[in-house]
Amino acid sequence: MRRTLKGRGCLGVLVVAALVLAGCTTTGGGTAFGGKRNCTTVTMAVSPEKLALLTELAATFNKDKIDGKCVDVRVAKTSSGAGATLLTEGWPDEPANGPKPVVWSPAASSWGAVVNQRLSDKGQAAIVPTDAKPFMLTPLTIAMPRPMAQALGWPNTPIGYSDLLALANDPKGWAGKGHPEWGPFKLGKTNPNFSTSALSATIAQYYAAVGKVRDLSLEDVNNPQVESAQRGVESAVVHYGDTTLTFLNNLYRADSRGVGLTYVSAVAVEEKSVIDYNTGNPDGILDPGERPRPPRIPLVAIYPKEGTLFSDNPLFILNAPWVSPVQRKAAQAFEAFVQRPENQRKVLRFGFRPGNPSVPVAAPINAANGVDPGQPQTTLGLPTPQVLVRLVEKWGELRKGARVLLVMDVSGSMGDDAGNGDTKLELAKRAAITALDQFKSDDLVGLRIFSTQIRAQEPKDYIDLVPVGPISADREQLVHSIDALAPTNGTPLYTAASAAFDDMKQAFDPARINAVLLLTDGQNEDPRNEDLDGLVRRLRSGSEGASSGGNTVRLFTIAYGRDADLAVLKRMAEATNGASYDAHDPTTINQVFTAVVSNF
Amino acid sequence: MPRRLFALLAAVAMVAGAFGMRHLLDQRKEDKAHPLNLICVPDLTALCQIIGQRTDINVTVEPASQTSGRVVALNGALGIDGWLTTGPWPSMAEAGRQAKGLPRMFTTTSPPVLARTPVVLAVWPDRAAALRQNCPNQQIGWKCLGSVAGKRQWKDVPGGNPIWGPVKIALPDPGNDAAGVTVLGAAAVDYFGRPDVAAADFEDDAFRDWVSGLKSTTPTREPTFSEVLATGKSLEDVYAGLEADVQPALAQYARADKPVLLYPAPMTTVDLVLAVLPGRAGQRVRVLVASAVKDHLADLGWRLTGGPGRQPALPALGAGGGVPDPGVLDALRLVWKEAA
Repeated sequence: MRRTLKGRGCLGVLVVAALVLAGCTTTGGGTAFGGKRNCTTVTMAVSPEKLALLTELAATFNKDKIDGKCVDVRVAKTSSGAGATLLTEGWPDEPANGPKPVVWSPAASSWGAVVNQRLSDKGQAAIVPTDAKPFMLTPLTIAMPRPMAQALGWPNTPIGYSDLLALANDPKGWAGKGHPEWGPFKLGKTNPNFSTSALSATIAQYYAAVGKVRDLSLEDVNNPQVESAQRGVESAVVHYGDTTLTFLNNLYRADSRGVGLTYVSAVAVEEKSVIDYNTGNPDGILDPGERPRPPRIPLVAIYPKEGTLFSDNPLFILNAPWVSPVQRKAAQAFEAFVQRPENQRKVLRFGFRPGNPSVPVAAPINAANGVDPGQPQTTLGLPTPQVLVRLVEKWGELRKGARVLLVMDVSGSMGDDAGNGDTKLELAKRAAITALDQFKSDDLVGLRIFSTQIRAQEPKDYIDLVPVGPISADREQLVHSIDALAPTNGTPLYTAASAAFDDMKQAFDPARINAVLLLTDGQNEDPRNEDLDGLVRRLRSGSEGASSGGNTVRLFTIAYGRDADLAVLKRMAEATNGASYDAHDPTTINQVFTAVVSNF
Repeated sequence: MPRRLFALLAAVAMVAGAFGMRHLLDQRKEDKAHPLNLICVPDLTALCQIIGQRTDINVTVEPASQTSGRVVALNGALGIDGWLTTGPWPSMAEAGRQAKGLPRMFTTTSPPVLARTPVVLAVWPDRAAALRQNCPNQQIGWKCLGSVAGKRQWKDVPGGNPIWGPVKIALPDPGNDAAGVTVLGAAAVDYFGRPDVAAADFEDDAFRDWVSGLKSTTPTREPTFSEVLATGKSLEDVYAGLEADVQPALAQYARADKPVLLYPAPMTTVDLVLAVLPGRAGQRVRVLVASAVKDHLADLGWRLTGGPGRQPALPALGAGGGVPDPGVLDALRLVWKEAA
């Protein structure tokens, strides 16, 4: 009897313990990622530009209770294009990609349409609602250095894509507008697979080409005459990329050296970025102690006369199987919270227009910052999801061709463990092979490896395994060659970078984006060549101003692993108005490679 | 004897009470076994949410055209107990069923009106000034609005500014939207200048051109009025909608250049109706919905039938009417669909 009672007592203790544990568990699966106890966790995946603001708002919101229960809104950064891809794939690999979001906030509603269409193509139900309110707004603009805009008639003459197309197709370039010193017209535009401004710009280009403002159709997108116009615009592109910040940072540096007007003539960016640039904060992030300094030549926002699109930053409460009714309700409460006037006024601080029209549009959205709150005159209709998806595919076919030399470090340290059982070289090889799929069939790609004394005769420090040629013909050879790479000696970084730059410049192809993609895991280990300043001077003089001869080769660098010298690689890349990418964590190399190749 | 009679009566009463109690219990059991289903049109989302929150009714939001299509085509159970929509739709659907020789679906062909709201136009001031130059007596009405729409570009409209680009007029879609068909009906009445518009009138080529002009400026998906206000005049020059949606949003609007609110003649109202199916479930839906929404209709901007609503400064409603009958409206929907 006593045993039975004792047994019951134990059972009771277990039940109580289980209940206590259950009570300690957050609602909706928040425990796996450290949500507050006894709270409903609302995970949010938001595009980078609103991370700081939404984090601040969430902290305030989390202090109150909803229906007597606490809510823990947790905000994580995910770029719009990456979020769209992850949602299409069911948001795999939560440890790497973050928790499945209850709320997804890309920069624009168009991404929601893309996700729903991709799911529909896979026979799956839509998960993104179509009636979300805008949280904050910013229109897509064509940012131009003020003198260039003035040369096109700004501010008295409306300017549009048709004017840019005419300028891009004019062999005289800016000379036709009385400014031969500015060279050809150069457009900065990102990759619409990644970037909202690029997606919006691509939509706007198509509308401009067909003369519509709504209801862009598949027939329009597939029209050969429209294709021709698209090729014309794309031909003026400097390079692509995953973020407009690369252009703005490069332009800002070029401006500080007095050569801004030769780097890029126009960049498709959001109005908010024009404000950031003109206030001396081109990437929109002020580091501690950083003092913004306005550029010498400010940008002005051109609102294309054919119309434009707004980035509306919706808060999509997903209709996904992992979203519980309790989480949905909490998310709705947060959505209502961010729409309150006192919270909407905060978006102005970040250069956005409030989504709630009960809050006035005010400074910094004003002429002093190169923007016009009375613009745009026409908002273009968002195409149907089918058209959107086709449009992005079509861009892949019509974009400017690339001529790229892939330069890979095969020094001995590449054989070190990457932290997950693979060597760094193994991970890099897989990422490079995967990235080859991002090139289009008529792109030209070559493969060079480097390490000290890698061969007996000159040049001793690098070998061209696959000469630059059409990837359609060389793909197998590239894959085979990358797959066979093995670690060898030291890192003659400066020699390799300089030689690759020179070789690509020598055979420059003006119809393509000419670039060197250099991956290294270390620092320069070559006593024969240690002159970094000299290298940077050479790269710069070969990339901008009259000394470049117009044959601009961009250097894109990947700092791979803990020992890579990111600062040096950044200097080298920026000297050519390219960009440097950080893959200090070797397991991120796949994403980083994808981001780098998005430039071509 | 009286005591026996009393005892007998008491016994009968107890038996009757027992039967009554049994019946009540059975009904409750049946009610629990039969969850109530209501279809609500997207224009009434705020009301639908209130019903969903305050009752046990399963609320599904669906465009009026879809529900109507099913009502007309079904020769069996609809799978719902009620349809919360705007005026002409249940009547149009019943007319469609009658034409196919099918029995009536709802308890009545003209469900009672729960509340009303006028059709209004919200126009940005500079656009309103330009439109007035093109309208008789400077009164912006449907007919002149359609004529301006037919010019497609503001550069071709007297008083228009070329930088405004294309003429953009947002009308609720008469093909799908609950309020859209009423709006188009009012526009047709204004075009012909008489209320007794008939389907035969729609054969007129000039009228069809006029409808095409109007349609050409209308987006495939009408934005919400909040979207229009948030993005400014670049999205729409003119927004046609319900006073219940437009007036409260305008009252909150705090930016310069506030759109003007117009009541185009003839003043037309959109009626909020609840069509229910015969039987106890339909009856329960009627009671529950009426109880759930009665305190919220005025707050949501609707005018209660017989009352002034919460905004006495707004113009009084007319006697109603002014919209063609359901059969004619259905023909008008077809004209809209066929318009280029």
